[in-house]
Formats: sequence, C-alpha cells, structure tokens
Amino acid sequence: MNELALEGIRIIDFSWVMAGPMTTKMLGAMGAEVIKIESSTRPEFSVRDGMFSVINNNKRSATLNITTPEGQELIRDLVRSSHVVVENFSSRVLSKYGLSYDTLREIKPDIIFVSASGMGRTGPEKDLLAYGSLLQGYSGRVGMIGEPNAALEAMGILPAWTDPITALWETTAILAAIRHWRRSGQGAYVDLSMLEATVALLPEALLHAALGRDVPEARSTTETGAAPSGCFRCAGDDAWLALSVRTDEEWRGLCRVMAEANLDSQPFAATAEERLAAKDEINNRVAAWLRTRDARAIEVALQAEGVPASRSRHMADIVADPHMRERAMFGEIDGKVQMATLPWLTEDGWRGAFAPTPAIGQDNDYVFGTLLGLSAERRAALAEAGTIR
Amino acid sequence: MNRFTPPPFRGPLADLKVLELGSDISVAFGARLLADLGAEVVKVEPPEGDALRGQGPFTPGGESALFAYLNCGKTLVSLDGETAGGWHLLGELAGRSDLVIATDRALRGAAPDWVQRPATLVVSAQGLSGPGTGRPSSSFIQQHASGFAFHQASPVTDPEATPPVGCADWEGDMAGGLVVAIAALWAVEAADGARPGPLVDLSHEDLLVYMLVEPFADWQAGMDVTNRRRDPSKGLTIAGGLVWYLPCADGAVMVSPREDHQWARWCEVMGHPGWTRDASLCGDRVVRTGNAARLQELMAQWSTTQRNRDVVEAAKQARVACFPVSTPRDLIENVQLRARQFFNDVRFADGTALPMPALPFRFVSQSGDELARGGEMAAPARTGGGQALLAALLAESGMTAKRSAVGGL
Repeated sequence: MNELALEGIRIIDFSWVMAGPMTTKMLGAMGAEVIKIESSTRPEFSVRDGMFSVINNNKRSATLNITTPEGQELIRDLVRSSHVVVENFSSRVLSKYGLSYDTLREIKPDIIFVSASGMGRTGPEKDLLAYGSLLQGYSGRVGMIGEPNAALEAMGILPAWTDPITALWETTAILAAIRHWRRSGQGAYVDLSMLEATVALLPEALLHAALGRDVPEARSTTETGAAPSGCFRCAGDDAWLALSVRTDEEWRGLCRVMAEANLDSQPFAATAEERLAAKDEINNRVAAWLRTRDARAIEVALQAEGVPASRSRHMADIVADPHMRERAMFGEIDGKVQMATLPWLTEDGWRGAFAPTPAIGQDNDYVFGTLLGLSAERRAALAEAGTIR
Repeated sequence: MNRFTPPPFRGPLADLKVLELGSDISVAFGARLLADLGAEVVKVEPPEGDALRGQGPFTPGGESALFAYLNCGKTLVSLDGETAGGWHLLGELAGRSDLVIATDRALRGAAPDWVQRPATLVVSAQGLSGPGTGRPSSSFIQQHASGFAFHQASPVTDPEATPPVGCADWEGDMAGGLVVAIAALWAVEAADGARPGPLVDLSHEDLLVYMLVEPFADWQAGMDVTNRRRDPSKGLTIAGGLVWYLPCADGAVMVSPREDHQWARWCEVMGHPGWTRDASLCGDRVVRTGNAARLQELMAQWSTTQRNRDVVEAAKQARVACFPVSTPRDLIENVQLRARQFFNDVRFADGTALPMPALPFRFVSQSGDELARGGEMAAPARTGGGQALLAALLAESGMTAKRSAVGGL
C-alpha cells in the first residue's frame, strides 16, 4: 500500500482563507506537493497562528507578487511543470492577472484547474460579493439551526460550515480529476459553487419543500422518530447530556436507568408510536430528572443499558479522550499537540503525512531556484524588484 | 447513434467499480457521489430492503424521496448477507470491484474473509479500534459526542438558555458522505490493486471532530474552550467581519457592509445617509464593531418594515454583500441555482418528479466534455435493477435463489 498516493502530483495553490487551504492540506497529506503562493504584504498570510496553522500543513510556501508581469511569468513557468491549480480569486483578478483556466491551459493543456467561488463562475449572481457566513444564510441552513436571534448565536454561523464543506467537495473533485488524468491524460476544469456545496447537504428540507410539506421537527435540536430525544441540562457548570430513544429496547434501558421516575408505568410507555405522540411530555420528564444529576455518571449508565447518549463534549474533552488519542486523531509533533491531517485511519494507524505549516516564503529557493532554475543572482534581483516578496 | 459517435462522457471515474454494503447515510451518499462522477456502483440491500427506504419524506406513492436522493444512479441488488450463500456472493461481488464501502455491521465488525476483496472502507460510529468503540450512538448523538454541537452554540450571551445545538437537516451524515468519497478515492489509489486490499477505518465521530478547525485552534492557543459565555467586551464580530441578521416583514436577511465605503452605501439603502456623519455611532469599522448590537437594533427598526427580497435587491444595486435567509422553497426557485442547472429532476414510479441537488460543481474535461447537470433521472426502483447481475453470479456459483424480495434473491 502506498499511502502517499498523490506522490508526483504538484499543486499550485492560490487559495486563501479556509476552503482552499483545507483542500490542499488534505491533498498534501496524501503525498501531493503543494506550493502555496503567498504575499508577505498581505496580513492574510503574515499572521500564521490560530486557524491558519491548523489548515496549512503539508505545504511549501513561496512568496510572489502576482500583480507584476514578471510575477505572472513566473507563475506560468510554475504551471508548466504542475498538475493542479487551486484558486478562489474574484473573476476580475483571474482575468486581470492572466490566471484564468483559458490562459493557463494554453501553457499546460492538461492542467486540472479548480475554481471555488461563492456562487460559481456562471449564472446571474456569479459576481456577487459573498462571505462564507452570508452563504450559510443564503443556503438556508441558518434558518434551520437553533432559534432566530439578533446576535446570530447558536444558529450555525460558528464554527464555519460552508468553508470546510466546500473543502471536502473540492477535494473529491480534484481526486476524481487526478484519477481521470492518470488514466486518460486529460486535464479538467472544475467550477465549484459554495452555495451549491452547502445546499446539496440539506435533502430533508428540500424534499419536503418540493412535496409541499414542512419538516416536522428541527433535526438540530432533536432526533426525528425518537422519543425522548434532545439535549438536556445536568448538574454542574454548563453540563449537558444528549440522548435519543428510538426502539423498545432502548426505551427499556432508559426506564432502568431512570427507575425512580417510573416512566414505564406511564400511559405513553407501551409503544414507540405512543411515546412519539407524547414526546414533549417525556422530554420534560427527562429534563426535570437530569437537571440535578451528574452528566458523566448518567452517560455511563445509559450507555451500559444500550441507550444512545453522550455528554455534549467540548474540544478540551475531545483532545483528552483516550479513545481519540489511541486512534491517533491527535498527536504530539515537536512537543505541540496537533490534529490529524486526514479524518480516517489505516490498520497501521496512519492518518496522513504531516509537515507543520511552513514559514512564509520558506521555500522560495526551492520553488524559484530548484524548480524554475533561476540563479541566485536572478532571484536576488527579483526580490529586490519586489516580484519575489 | 452510428459507429463514429463517441460514447457520452460518463465522468472522470468511468472505469471505477464500487460495491456498497450496509445501511448508513454517509455510506450511501459517498457512493452516490462516486456514481455521479461516473463510477459503476452496486448497492446491496437485505431482502427486507434498506432501512432508509423507511425514512421520509415519502412521495404520494409511498416511496422514500431521501432514499432516492442517496441512491440515484446505482445498481441495486437484494442479497441476504446473513446466510452462508449470501456471504459467499458478497465476496464474489467484492472480487469484481475496485473498492468496497461498507458499514461495520454489514461486515460483521471484522475484516471479511474474501480473498479477492479490494480496498475496503469501513464506516462506523466510533471506529474499529479504541477504548470507546461500540458506544450506543446515533446521528444526533454523534454531533454532541464530537463537540460539534457544543461549539456550534459558542459563544452565546446566556449559555443557560442556549443549549448545544446540532447541524441542520442530515448535514452531519452528508458531510460524512463527502469524507467517504474522499477516503474511497484515496484508498483505491493507495491500494493499487492489492488483493485482499487494505481496510480503512472511518468513524463518524472523527470526521465531525476534524471539521472543528476554529475550536481546535483556540484550544491550541491556550484559550478556554470550555466556556461558552460571550465576552461582551469583544462586541458581536462574527466569523472575521461584521455580519448582521435583520428580520424583515417577511423572513430575514444577513448583511455585511464591512468597509467604510460599503457602510456608506448601505446607509443610503436604508435611507439613513446621515448615520455616516455620526462618528460616535458608526465612525469606522472599529466603532461599528463596538456598537454592533445598537446598530442591529436601529437597522432592524427599518428592516422589519421591508420585504426581504426588496432589501436584497437594493443592497445588490449598491454593491453591498446582502443575502436573504432562504427557505427551502426559495432554494428550489433560486435563479442562480436554476441558471446553473443545479437540480436534477428525479422521477418516481408513481409519476412524481422531485428536484434534487446535482454535484455542486461543473466538471469539464480538457476535451470539452461536461458532466451532465439539470437532467432527468429515474428514482431507484422499489425492486432493484440488478437481477441480471445476480442471475449471472448465481449461475457462476452454481447456486439458486431461495426467495425473492426487494431486488431478487
């Protein structure tokens, strides 16, 4: 098995913010050589802590001023020896700097060119300014999460959703295009819409609407077809327990754990249908019972009885979880805990190649010297002129 | 068609054969994406049918529209993997495939003993290894176990009144489907034809954790990720810039006039150009960030008298980023989605045709072939279309079908 299945594939990465960088991080984890084109004059690239460092592993960094003719010429030279270009520029920037698919395919006919934009590169709204947070509203998902409120709290704005989702679609498209190229020698153009990327994951809402019906319950707060089901407050500081009962077996398990609440002697107890009809009442009883109880102890008891249940955990819980550690979801690299670069695991515990986020311009000599063959003098002159910067 | 007509472009994965086993939205959706990209996907259902056929909404004829969305474009066969003969036939099908995508349950929780098995992706709640495997779980529970629900309700002004909250719709499982497709494409390349192929372990919980980039970055930076209470001194800055949610007479809009020039034009749209001269209220981006809550109240006084489509149109003319909070019905009628042929029309046996999302990208090969979007598709049949495949397998194995059910055997 060759885990580094994308070895030999070179990707020129113009993307920034979140979706593109998450895409190329994954492809780098599979062995692709990712060359991130940056600019030391843009704060986006010069601030490298926080989220930036989590999503820019497995890349080389080269700094280049793409607004100059010399910079654009260097890009074209790089594209000549590459396989994939990833970008999320505005349409205006793409054509202004000669970086569009039509321009680059003249240099490298079999290039795989992947464009991610808010609305896609065609259609009446293709040039609208769109931020990820606004797209979460436009896609409809904000209206399906939590309760509407002016501060947009608990409505699905944070953590980012549209961007990571776009990254997953983008990675899928690129892997398919690379497989196609390896077999046919054919390049491809991919025009990905972040709006579509988000909407495609909302089938229940869309299908109900198409059938002229309303979705019976918001899946963000309860499990449809389960009673009781919800997220309940427990004793202690901001402690919550989610549980869901779908079958008679799970119901009996719940009744054993909540023995003193006498749930099984209630009129709704007999069948799943009756429990669903009395869902609000059962949820209220469970909520009242859990309010004074320890979430961790009840979680253990419910799971032992076969009832789907979990504390609503936070990242500190997750990182400390022995299960996550044993599965190599987190590991220490140079004394710092890092998250795995791929969300799956081989039998050997492999979770993707891992190289820390590069310093800005760290690989300028490799990219402009080794790959493009520019002499040290020429590179110094380009740096002096502000082209390599 | 004459002999000089090239075959239509089936997609970049036209030579890939995939076998899908088990009932799981992520597995089904991941395999469906591979089918959309041209792969030949055989999905095996138990004789009583995939449990997701019982998941609504249903067409007037009683067919699951969700099942159709997850399974369009696949060959469905019915086989009882619980019997020795059925298990043997599954092995035969696996041997003919480049890749198996399965739930842990469908594989009986262990590596199957099929010698000719290709690379096999196993999808489970918590993974195949680790001290926490086998915990009773569900789609809803996974979002709480993974931390997604907690962090989706953070920061909030009143944690007591704002419980952790999961994703919309089936989003958690659908995102899982994307990771299934990615892991599958990686696995088939990495395995490079090895038989038996490697097992790849994909857990719902892991992939939801993987999505939590910002909470992990905060944890790494030493911030207190256990505290959901909003720090009032930080204002209401959301996701890298000022975003306001404004209720309208019908529905709501979200608007983000971040820069000074955008803000000035937005004030014109609202009919309050004078606000730009009030330095203490909205002098610059920093001031507006500090006054975000107050500004929201003032803007909402105006927006609640407006129709959301009028607000969006006026903002668009003024080049201010502003979008409606769409309803599902809005999405089906959305001009941009329609212009890009985002919806396929999926037709059921009872005559119902429903719009269903296609792949969210246009894929055009170097030679100009484009993956079809916006066309008509047939919904998966109630009885699978894979009888011919099954009959051939049975004949080769010298076996006979004992009973007929959903698809054949």
